[in-house]
Amino acid sequence: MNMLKKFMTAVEKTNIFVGKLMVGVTLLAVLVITFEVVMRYVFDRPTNWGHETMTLLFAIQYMFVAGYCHYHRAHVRVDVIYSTRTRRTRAFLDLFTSIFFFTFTGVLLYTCWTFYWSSQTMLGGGKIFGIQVPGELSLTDWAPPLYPVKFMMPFGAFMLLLQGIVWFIRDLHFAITGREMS
Amino acid sequence: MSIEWITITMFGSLFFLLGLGLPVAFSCGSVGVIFTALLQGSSAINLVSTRIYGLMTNYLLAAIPLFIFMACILERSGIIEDLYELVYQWFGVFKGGVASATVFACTMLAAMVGVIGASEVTMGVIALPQMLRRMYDKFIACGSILAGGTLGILIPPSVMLIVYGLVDNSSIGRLYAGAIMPGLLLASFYITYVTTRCYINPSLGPPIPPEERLSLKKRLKLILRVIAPCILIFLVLGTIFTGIAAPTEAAGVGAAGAILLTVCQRRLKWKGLVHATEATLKSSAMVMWTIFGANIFVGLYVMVGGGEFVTDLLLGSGLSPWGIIIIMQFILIFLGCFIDWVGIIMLCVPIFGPIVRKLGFDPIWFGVLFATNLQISFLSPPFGYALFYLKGVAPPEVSTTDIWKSAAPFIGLQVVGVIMVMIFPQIILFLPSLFY
Repeated sequence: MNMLKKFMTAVEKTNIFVGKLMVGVTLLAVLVITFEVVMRYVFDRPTNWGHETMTLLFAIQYMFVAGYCHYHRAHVRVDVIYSTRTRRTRAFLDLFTSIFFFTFTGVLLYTCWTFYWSSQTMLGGGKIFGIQVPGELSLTDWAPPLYPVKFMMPFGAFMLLLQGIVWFIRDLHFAITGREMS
Repeated sequence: MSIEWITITMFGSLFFLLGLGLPVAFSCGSVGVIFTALLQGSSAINLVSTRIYGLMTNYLLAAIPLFIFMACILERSGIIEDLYELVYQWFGVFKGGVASATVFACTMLAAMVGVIGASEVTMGVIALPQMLRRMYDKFIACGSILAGGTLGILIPPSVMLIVYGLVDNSSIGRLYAGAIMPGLLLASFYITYVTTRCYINPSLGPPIPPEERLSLKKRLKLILRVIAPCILIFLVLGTIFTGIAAPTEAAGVGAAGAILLTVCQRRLKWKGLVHATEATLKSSAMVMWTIFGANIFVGLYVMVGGGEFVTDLLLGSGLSPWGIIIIMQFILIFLGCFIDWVGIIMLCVPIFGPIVRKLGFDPIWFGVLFATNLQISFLSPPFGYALFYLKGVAPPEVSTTDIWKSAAPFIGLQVVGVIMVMIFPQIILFLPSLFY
């Protein structure tokens, strides 16, 4: 039981931490796009990396906030029936629908992993900032390696899955005992 | 499995899961994944990661978190309060003036933000208690906030039209230009409605008493405080309409501009910025993951021939083109009662878009009509975002039933608005033809 609680705390703390990290990523993305716009329209010296960097930063953000958002239970639901039920009925409903949640996140994790792995091991590679990198490169002028971004996909899916497991345990506890887990 | 059965079982299981309270993203995603494996074999599920990657690295979609971010900053900056104070002082002298001031302020706000949360919440916090204290009819008070705040997602910059333009492959600049007039039309409906009601029966919304009115000089001074945010709006919208910058660039500059503005006016500290960003993370995660999940669902449905099925069904029904458009409006109103706008756009546009083109209607006109119609979805119970937001901040004496009741006449006005833009397509098409 103690181990279980430690696991749950660890997952939730990680997701909160990831959220804080993503605050930084978002602010950085805003900074990058502003820099790009200023360079392009004020100094007429557009960079070849501004737009892509911003897009990839947001891509990372979307993947990671899934778990963070699930920790806050903030994903949109149609709570026509759901919100008017008691906490215990909701726990039972969540336990039932979690079959589908885990089907989705399981497939997400698996396919994202193979997707990442094929990018990492793809023949190719090249130099960026003078450093030799392996794997798939973006097909743009700047040509950054894509596998670090693609690696965030299984990673984000994994955090979402873990958060789902935490909620599953909480719901199970409430469904059986009728109390929140302390 | 025949396409009829696929349609019934796919949508049936989707609505079943949605009804049980599984988030929209995961309901769509899981049904999509399961049916992909059933219909196309288990190796086809690799499409899941490819589809998500395609969406998450989409340059245009990055405008969504940026516009949400801009709204979250403005929400915490006190600019909305300034705007309200200004409009309130100018409009308050009329009967029902506080309610029409609320709608007017919401309309101006709508030109700054692309979502509804910021205006619903802020107006619910500042305008609702003020109206209740002045003995306004609570149905008019709540209704004007509900309907006015909803304009935020129709009048550009609009997050909704970005998603629409992306799914339908139509120009976001044109959609934005087209949405201005319908937005202003609805706003004028709301203002006319509350003013008429209050002139017929002044006890519904008394004007503010003379001793609380500010002098003309002070009222003019209030204008000064909103000049800077107005310049920001013109910068953001101006660059989009003139085609100088892409929506994403304009959104980025808008977000940075909002930070700069609020920091210079010493209204935003580091902590406030972090809170605003955290709120952005949650809102954009909600939108993006619903897009991901629904894309997996509808992508499969279209791939197995669902698009042609619905097209044949509608075209073969013997209805006139206008009949089909009207049927679509009813479908949207019905879905709007239960699903959020992202889900509706993702599920309907890939199917409706080609039909509309086949029937020879202007896709920009249909896009804006779609968005105008979705205004209803925010107010129609049981599932309406505006209702939730207002309930979240309303004082306890305003019950959920009160809020639902207060929305009813405004839903009526929105239906009239939808009919108007259908009868007079020029309301939508005039501005895009001017700009492009």
